Amino acid sequence: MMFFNKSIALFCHVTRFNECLPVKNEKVGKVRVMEEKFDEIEQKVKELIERILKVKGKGTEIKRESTLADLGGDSLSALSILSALEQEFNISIPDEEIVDIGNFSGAVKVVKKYVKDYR
Amino acid sequence: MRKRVVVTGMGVITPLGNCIKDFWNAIVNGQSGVKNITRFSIEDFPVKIAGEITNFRPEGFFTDDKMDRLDRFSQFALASAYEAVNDSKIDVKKGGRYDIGVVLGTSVGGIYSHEKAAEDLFTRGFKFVDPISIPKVMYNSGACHIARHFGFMGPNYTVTTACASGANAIGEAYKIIRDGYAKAMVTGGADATLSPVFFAAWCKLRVLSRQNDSPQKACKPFSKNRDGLVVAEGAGVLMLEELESAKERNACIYGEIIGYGSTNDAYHLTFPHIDGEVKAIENALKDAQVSKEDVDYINAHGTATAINDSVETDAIKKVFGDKAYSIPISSTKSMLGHTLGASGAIELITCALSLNKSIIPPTINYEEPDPKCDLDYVPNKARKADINVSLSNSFGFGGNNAVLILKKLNNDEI
Repeated sequence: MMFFNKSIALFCHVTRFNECLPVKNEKVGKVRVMEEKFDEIEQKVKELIERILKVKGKGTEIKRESTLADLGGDSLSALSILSALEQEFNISIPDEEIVDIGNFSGAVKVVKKYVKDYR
Repeated sequence: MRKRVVVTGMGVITPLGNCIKDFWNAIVNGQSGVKNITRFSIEDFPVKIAGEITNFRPEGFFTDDKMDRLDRFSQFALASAYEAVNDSKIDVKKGGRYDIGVVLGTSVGGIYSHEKAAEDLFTRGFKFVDPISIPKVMYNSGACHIARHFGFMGPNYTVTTACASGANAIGEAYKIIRDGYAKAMVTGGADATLSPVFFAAWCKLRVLSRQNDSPQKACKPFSKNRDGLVVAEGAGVLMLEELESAKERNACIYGEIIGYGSTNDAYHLTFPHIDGEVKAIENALKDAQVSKEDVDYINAHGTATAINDSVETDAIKKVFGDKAYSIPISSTKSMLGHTLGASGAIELITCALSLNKSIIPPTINYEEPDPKCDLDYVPNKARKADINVSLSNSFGFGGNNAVLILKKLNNDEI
């Protein structure tokens, strides 16, 4: 039951985020076009990685193929990202998945694997 | 052969300023850095004052975006080291230097990160424990961050002897250079003591001043109306260097460390004992090969607890005899509060500045003479004085005593 609620909460959060996106500013509008390529989980993972690696303001854009190294992260950042993913999605990620956190799409894949299990 | 060891760089982070210049101006003018605590809620705490640092921004020192991986004590250590290394103008080579090391003192290391992780675990659950907690909490993290940041790959360790940590660290770094194991050492102490559980525990020891209504007047070392110490946070870092290599590169030399004495009372966990303190001072004088008559200034441990100040006074009298009455003695803690593991380092820096500027900073808040403390404590106003040899006392809980002696270099030696 708890996990069900969590999924709803996640969904609501993402919906709210999309609603809040500014559209007037041309520059931001362009970003929005790029962000729309991401699904809900991808968007959430992206925000979380941006926050942990302090990506914003560095002129770096997180893409599906981005690696942790591209974004200025290291093995300790990977641990922080893992922990934040576990908190955000209320999942437990086993040690053997750590390797996949090394790039953005790997992290998304891991989250989807475990979030799906809980649903 | 014994190498001579000199101080060629200094840096501080204190409640009275985040650089040597601000710190010195404040202590010469007898200012106090003690204030009401703002870092955490102290509603039901009996003590509401501390030497809190309120204007420290790590990002002001570094462009490193990983500063949140450092506990506050490591940030203090690194920021002070930054000032000391820049001040020394030592060559920081790309690829690192094995002939420069780090010995740092700290009494409680990453206590804040420890408390934060505990709070997260107990109130929110396992998932919320910060995975970087271990490297933040570990006591050696301050020394390791300094090594990593500057590429100092020589001997590196951390000394923890409570309130004597900073002085013991400097003493050990001095021995490493003296015995030829490194050309230069970054050394000193750092403590970020204002963490809720740790501060509550200090309150429970009932050794803190409770003058909550007049924070700046709270710390009264050697004054009869003293009512306890004031906890403070900060860091002091020095660059020690072999005299010959400092001369070779025309470094600015603040003074020479000529003596170090270290003992343990083997007596009581929190009460000092005169014998251990006397022996530490005597050992330092012996190591320095100077006589009692040569000492021109003593920077006291001077915490403002009833017992520390009277036992320290007795120890000085026992070592120096009649000469004790004519040596100016002052307590830097009267102005900063007690920075615990950083205090020994900040106080040796005070000695070095005193040698160079020929001014002795005062013991402020000295209001009532105490028959048990009847020496010259340079009360309330700084004093001009030519100082050739100064001695700094540090006495820690657990009975740890560390004494350092610093001497001015004569012009013909430079």
